[in-house]
Amino acid sequence: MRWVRLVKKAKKGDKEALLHLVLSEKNAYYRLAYSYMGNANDAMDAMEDMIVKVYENIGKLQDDPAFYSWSKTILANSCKRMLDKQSKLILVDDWQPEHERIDDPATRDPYKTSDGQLDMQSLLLQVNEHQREAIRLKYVHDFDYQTIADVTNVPVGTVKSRIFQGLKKLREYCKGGGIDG
Amino acid sequence: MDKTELHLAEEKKLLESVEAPEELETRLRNALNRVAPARHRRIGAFWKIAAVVLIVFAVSGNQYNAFSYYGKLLLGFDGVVNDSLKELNEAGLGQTVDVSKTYEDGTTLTINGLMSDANQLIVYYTLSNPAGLKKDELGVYDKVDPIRISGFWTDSDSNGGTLNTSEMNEIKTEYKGYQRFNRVSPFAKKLTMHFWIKLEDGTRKSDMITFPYDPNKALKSHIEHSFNQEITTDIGTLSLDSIIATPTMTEINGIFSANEDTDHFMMVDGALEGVELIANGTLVNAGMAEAKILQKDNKIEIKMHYGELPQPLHSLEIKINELPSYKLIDRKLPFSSSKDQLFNIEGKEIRVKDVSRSSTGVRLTLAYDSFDIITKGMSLGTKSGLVPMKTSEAGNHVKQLDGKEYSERTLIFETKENPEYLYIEKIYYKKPYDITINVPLE
Repeated sequence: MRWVRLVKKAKKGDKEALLHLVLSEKNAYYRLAYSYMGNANDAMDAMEDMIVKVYENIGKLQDDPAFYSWSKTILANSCKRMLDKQSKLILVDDWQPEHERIDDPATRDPYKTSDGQLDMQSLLLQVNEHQREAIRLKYVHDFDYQTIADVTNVPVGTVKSRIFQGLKKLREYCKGGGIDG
Repeated sequence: MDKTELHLAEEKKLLESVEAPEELETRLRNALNRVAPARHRRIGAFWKIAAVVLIVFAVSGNQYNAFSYYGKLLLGFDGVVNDSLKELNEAGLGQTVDVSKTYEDGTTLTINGLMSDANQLIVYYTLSNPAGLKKDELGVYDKVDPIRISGFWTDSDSNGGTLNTSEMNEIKTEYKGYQRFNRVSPFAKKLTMHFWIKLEDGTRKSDMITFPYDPNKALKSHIEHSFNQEITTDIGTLSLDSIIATPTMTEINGIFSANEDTDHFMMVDGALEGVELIANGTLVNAGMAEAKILQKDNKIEIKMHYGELPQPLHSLEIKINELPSYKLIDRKLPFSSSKDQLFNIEGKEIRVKDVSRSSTGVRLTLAYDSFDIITKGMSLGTKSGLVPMKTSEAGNHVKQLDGKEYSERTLIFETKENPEYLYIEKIYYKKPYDITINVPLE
């Protein structure tokens, strides 16, 4: 694996090597950040935060091949921290007219307004926040259980049960005709 | 597939239509440029270490003062360490230490024990807080970042350790990890570990902890063999000087003397990856190799790290498959009107993807077989002569449908003139060899 070599270089402080590592998977990172943040600007902010943290801490990464799952864990945590801060500022946010943000070309995205997304949003609203996050990471971002456990700060067993319970609830909801699918 | 799965698949498909914006790269690069360079390994320590090694060799005759030692087990680290360290621990070959330090937030750092040999020192530690340990903002429990070990004739850099792989107890009040350091002096009786610690309130402070060390309890080396093997290459001579195999790892030491310029060796990425260690007919895992340029006589000090050797050992050989090489090319690649041009240089493909002008200079984007060609040695030809490259930017890593992989890189030249051709003065690459060195076993 060529990229493992880049991890070694990045560990020695090579910024270009790190940039290369992140850029070769930029869509995967971006999609992860986007699904947490919901808009392009915040997703990129979170990625900036991530790359700095990764650069400062990569020396602690012992298992080089684990670079991608490790850095994605950092990205997910950056997103969650930013969302946390935003929720504290929600009153200020409400003051801005909604259309201003939606019409900004930098933040406009087909993903956000598509019907499928809306369906999924309302579907996933049927389960609690933790179940929702675990299901998303597993089925939309293809994370393995251990990485989800690292991101969500709970044991693997809890992740499995959240996904199982969440899916069970969703299936019941779909069966009950709660969503037209 | 039921409805739920269909919906999830649909969301996944939708998300896959989201692509990272163009400006992302610039934003990430700028973010990185704002941070200070990472802590670099201190330079200049070589002669100090060399002097210590010389004295150690003179005094101890290259033998660690290693009696068989059976001590106490280091308890609770089974889930943290790999199998071979576990076996050593089960054999009671670690040294128990048990020195601790408590911080104002209730966190206690305990040095539980260590394992030492002629190649490295491994320090085992526990972090505990009865009020519970929280993850830091990186999602990491391990708030200790060991930097180095100091002591009598000892100044050893850290060589990696545990991170998320370490063990946390179920109630999240205790965390166990370990850290590897370069070898310590067999004359040290006390060692001091320098580290950063992040407290639960988020503050980070630099601190140190001192603990006793008994060099007599160092693990005995399996092999300490000096040889004088010289391999002549196009660009210099690689001389392998010694191999030290301890129960925890194996290190091969050598010197590369460059004919003209150490760059010819250092410019090649993974310069020493073509050197393999084969024990009992099987490849030994390779770790990070270090190459340090010595300020004198175009020499490079080389340390190659491998895993521990299988026991009992029947055969051991060093196999050299590839070594760095360098070639003068002296070729001009003219830019034609068609942008996407392909050139073949020494069997490697270079594609000129784009040439564009900005107010200050010329941007040239190349795609080439990943990392085999190094942009140093390329310049831009204009009417009034050659313009050296000012800087370059890493680009995408492209995987074509036919499975071929390319790296892209944009070279930036400062010139107001029209670019006419790309001049490639030299390339650096790996040349195949087929050399096997048998290491005699006593």
